[in-house]
Amino acid sequence: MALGRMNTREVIPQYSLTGDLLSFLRCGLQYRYHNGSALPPSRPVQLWFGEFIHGVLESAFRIWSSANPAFPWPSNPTDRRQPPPIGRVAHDIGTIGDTVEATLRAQGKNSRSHDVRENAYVRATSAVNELGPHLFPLISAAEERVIGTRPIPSSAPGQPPPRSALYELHGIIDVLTNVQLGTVATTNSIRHTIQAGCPGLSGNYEVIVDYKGSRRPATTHAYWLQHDWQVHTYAWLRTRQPNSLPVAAGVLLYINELAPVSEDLVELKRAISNGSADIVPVSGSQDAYQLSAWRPGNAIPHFSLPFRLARAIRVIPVNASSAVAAATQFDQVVLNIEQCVAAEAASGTIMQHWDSCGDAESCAACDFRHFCEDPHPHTGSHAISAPHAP
Amino acid sequence: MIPLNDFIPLVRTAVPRFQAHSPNAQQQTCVLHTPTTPLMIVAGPGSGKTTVLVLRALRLVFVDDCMPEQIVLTTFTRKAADELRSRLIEWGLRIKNHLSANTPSNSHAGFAHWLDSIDINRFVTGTLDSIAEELLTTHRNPTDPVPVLVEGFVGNGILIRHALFPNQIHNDPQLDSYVTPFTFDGKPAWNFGDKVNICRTLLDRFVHDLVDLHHYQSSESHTQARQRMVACANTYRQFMSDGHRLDFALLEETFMHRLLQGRLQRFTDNLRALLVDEYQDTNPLQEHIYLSIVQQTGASLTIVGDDDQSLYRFRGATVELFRDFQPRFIQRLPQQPQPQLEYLTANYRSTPPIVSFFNTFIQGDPNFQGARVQPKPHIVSQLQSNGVPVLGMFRPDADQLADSLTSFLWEVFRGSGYPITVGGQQISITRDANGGDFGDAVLLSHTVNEYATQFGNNPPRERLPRLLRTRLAARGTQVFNPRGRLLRDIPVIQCFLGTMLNCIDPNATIQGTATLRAEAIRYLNSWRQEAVAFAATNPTPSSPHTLADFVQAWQSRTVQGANMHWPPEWPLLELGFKLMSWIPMLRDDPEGQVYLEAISRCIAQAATFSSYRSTIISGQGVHAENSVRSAIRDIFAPIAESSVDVDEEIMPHVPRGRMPIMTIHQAKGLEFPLVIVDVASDYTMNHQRNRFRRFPETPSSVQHMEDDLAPFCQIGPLRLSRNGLLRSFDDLVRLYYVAYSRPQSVLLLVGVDNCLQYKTKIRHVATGWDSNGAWSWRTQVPNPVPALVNNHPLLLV
Repeated sequence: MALGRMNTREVIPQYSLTGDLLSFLRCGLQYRYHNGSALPPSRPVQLWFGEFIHGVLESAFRIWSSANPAFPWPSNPTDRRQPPPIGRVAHDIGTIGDTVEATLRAQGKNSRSHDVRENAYVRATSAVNELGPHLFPLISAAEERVIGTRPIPSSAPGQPPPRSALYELHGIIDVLTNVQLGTVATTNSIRHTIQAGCPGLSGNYEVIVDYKGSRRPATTHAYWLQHDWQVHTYAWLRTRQPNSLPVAAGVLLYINELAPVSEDLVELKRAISNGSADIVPVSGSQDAYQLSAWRPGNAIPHFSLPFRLARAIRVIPVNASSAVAAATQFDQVVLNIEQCVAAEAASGTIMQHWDSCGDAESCAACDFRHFCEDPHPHTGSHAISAPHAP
Repeated sequence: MIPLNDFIPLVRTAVPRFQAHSPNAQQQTCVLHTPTTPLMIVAGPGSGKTTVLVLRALRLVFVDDCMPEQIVLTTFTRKAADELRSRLIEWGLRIKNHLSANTPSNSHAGFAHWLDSIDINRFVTGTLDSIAEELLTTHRNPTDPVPVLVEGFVGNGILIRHALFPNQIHNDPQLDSYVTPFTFDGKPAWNFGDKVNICRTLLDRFVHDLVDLHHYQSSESHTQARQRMVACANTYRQFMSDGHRLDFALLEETFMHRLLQGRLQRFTDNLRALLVDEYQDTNPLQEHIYLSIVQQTGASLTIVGDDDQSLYRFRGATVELFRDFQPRFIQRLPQQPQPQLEYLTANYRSTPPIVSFFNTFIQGDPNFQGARVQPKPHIVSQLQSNGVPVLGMFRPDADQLADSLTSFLWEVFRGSGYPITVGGQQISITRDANGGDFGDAVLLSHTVNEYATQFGNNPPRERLPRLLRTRLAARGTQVFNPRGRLLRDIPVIQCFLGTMLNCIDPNATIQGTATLRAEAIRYLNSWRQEAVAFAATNPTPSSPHTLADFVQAWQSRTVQGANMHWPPEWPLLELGFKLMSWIPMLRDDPEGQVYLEAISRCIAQAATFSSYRSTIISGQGVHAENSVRSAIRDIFAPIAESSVDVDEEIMPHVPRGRMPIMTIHQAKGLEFPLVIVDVASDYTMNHQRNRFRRFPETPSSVQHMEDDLAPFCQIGPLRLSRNGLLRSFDDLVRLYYVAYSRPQSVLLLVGVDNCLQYKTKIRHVATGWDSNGAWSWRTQVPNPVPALVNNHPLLLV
């Protein structure tokens, strides 16, 4: 009498576009530890900053929708270890920030330093007061959850099969419609940038929006292409939703560009010098002079609002076939993840089945760099040495 | 929409697994039951309740014009929710695609548009807690913060620090006396950790059982103690509320309040159907939520469960809510149509001998029948017999049992099969020819602890899971039992934590100034010793310096390899991640990841309430020492006192070559080709200490607590309709019923053979004793009586 095999119940895996797929592309091994094992990062700096910005913008939009306070909103952040300033209004960026910080603190996330916190408030204030007047009136649906199911491509012969034939993909976006776009002033920077990026738009359409708590990538950086895929895939997901309109474009808002710091300017100057910056200051403008003269150690220049908005707003035209093509790229990423999962399950070990492929910046900050067998620059000849104290 | 009569044929055509096997008549009755009348489904083990739930939800979409986003399905665990969701998507897409390619000839205008508007991904699925959390986040006022869910370790840390200590819980003999019946063994709580657990349970019960606290604290018995508990509850609530924190109980309560206040209208306005799985594990608060939703929305309600598989009373589950669902619904919602009851009794999981065995078992105790849904038909196997009866393996002691069990498993999974003789015929039990392995079996027990509780200075006794582990390891095979050892006892974790301690606090100088309980001190010291021994082995990498050098550098706060000052602040988690460089299991073994996640979660979560946020300060006066002391008190000590649980759900697959060991609770909802149930490996004597696990003489602690709270909550009188002792027996019967209904092909009971003696004193519900003390495995005969009991249903091997 032969026993049967234990049924492995086929569960359709769920993937978050940003949380899973982009993380895996950044580094497979880091993804395995942080996402697969849910190991928390030792210094959740990016986590804190990104979530702070999202939290403030989300709350600000809710307040704007219900009470519509006039811009600019005051910004009086609470000093560290001091009581909140007296007399702050509900829409003060400091009031909003306190609530968001309290939520993050309760989750164990804190800003790494006073400087990081201060800069976060500067960026949040800029986002609300400089971007908000252009963005908020355009939003027809905020924090829309988009979910879709896609087939996982088949494995090549000899490769382990994925856990399931399907996967579920989800994300959260804000949605703008042509109705809103048509009603705002032509001087609205976002409307203007969309129309410039997608000339001849007509009929009923939607534009999807996502915030990025990061700088605008150079066009040669992997993130440039990955963000393009992300927008297209969100567009594909959005069109699966009942009662949605065709998506004509995606808008990425790189919040850091509203208040750049030293590292951002270093990267911008490098991109300009090697021709991979798509938005540069107008030649001969005050912005151009300031940027050209700037060196690390100098104070950050006051760039003009139009320049900062141009750097912050990236419009990506979308059509049905480009959306499908991008989603197909992510299908491959999912297949890669599934094959890693299967290989690990078969062998019972982890490290040899998940590629470490991070860039220099990712590896430098990675919690697992000390025992990674192939850190950046991934020569394959790395010798692991004992980490130093601390 | 499609006509109702076309739905089952459509399912059969569109979904491959139903092409060969249609849903059976009972399943069809449930799926096709009108949505306008509430439906209660009593679903026996292996009867396909997930199939029924999913098809019913899909029917509501394709026949009754509900949209998926208007349908909520809840179940008890994340895993169950994932499985439910996967089937919904998979089958829903197949049906939708089939209809799209084969438009019915009698379809209405707009059919294509309607079909296109169905987004299968929009079903609202999850546990009630996950759905509540999502809704409270999405549907909040503009200035409301996002609620933060805290659980387990953090919740208890907050409870201890901000509610129990301020209210002097640790210092109140009257409270000690009050909680004594609620301890595991009915004796006074012997450590602070036990008292904390009882307080946590009480506070959760206050919420789940909708206890009237005013009435509770006015009671004439234990008045002061009750008042102190209510004060704790209030202080705890205030602290949680001030920090925008919710634990699971408060999450559900907040959800209920918002529902009743009409603050979730965007959700309720759109809700047309509610399907609740595992309803036998509902608590009064959850019942209130579900019935309030139905009252507000008129949504179609379907509940599914099995009272015989209710195992979670200790977590507040109230089986009476399921058993008495019909009258309770009618009383609460008299204007609504009365619920209809349907059964699913066809079992597709287990062979006839196994089904017969557990049918006989569940019907064996006449006193138990009053606890069940009435009537309760028996379960009917749909499989062919494989000729293997229910087996029993009993030996004179646990060591011999472990030897024999190991041989059995080895012969099945690595050998040419294990021979048994049935009715004169020899049958060989073999692994599946196509990759059968240890992963096709499971050992189930009431507890998977590898060591029994230690008494005095004797070394703790090794239990069957441990004995099996060492014997299989000797043959090169591992077990998978992540809950079998407390984190603090796992060798690799001992080295890991001990090394961290030695780094941050050389010679335990600061540890000596922290107020720690004896158990914690014992473990911290033991870990430090293990760590020193480990460093002495000079593990790789040992260049450019050794692990011992690293530890020494930490101890003197001297930076290695660079000319810079020691940083003023360093996350403890980062130290831990660095140490993974020397401990391969923690970086390369999936089971090691389970342990590492528990430790790192503990460190990260401690940051939410610990004074120095899980960082080690240097060079800032008293803060340096205080930060170490905080880490010891808030991270290391709780692990030493077993306050931190592993989460084995993060392990994507149990490697098939490992032998799984789990508690019966963990196995609920699962099935295995071969199930080994440890009924009696611990019971060499009729010891008073173990009677509550097999044949209680007094009500268990859970029943005592239910009885104590009964006068102060609406559910109380219903619970008291069966006394505490009977309810204790009920829980044991259900526990072993779940165990016995897990196997597909072979069920093997194992234990020490004392319990099989004709004259045994070891009474055990699992071996056929009923609560009156009658033993169905024994037929009374005159002296001289046989040595072995003479009516057992097992084939002994």
